[in-house]
Amino acid sequence: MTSIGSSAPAIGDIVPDFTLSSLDGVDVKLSDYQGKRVAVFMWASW
Amino acid sequence: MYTEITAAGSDILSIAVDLQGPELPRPFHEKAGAQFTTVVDAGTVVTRTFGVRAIPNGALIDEDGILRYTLYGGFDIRKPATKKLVWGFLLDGEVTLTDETEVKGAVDVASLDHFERGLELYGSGDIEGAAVIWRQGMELEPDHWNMRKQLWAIEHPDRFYNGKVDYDWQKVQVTEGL
Repeated sequence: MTSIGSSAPAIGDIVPDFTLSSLDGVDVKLSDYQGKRVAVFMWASW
Repeated sequence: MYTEITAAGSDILSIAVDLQGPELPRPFHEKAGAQFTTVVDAGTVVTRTFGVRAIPNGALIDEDGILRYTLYGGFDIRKPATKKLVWGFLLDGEVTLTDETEVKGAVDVASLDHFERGLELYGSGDIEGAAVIWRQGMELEPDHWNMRKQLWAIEHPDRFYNGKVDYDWQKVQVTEGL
């Protein structure tokens, strides 16, 4: 059984960087937002 | 509002969790007239990075990349307390929690292996193989909603991609333990 509980960031931890493609196909990294406050909203169309 | 947010040195990143790619979330983004960026997670980036197995979620991250607030599951920006918290953070850098502000952090995602193995099979075209793995994962962790919905989407595509998402059908499935 895999658990990622220990690796997922808690409040006060640094969030690990990730890269995802935008709707326009552009690679976007979380670290692109370094130096800014950012609200991340996670949702789905279904 | 978005102009005010960026003027305050802040931004919004929207992540659509959708195995089927950008074509499904695109209309939602466009209909909302969103000026911020929407990216698509067709895999397990969100699950791995944030330790979540359900959506909608919200996370506030400061200038140094530090997590300042999370609500994993049931995040709704239309709720007054949530809205106040998020705007307060983006505009003033303050995280102000009240009795009405829920905080929910990461939990262990026991069925992550199943989710990932299913995605690999799905990606290679073995849809039935993916469904088998995901069904096993659901037995292990019935509230892994991201996986449950992907399973539904391949078993009952007519409920998802036939013009509108059939939420009433989803409620019946949950009630009946499917």
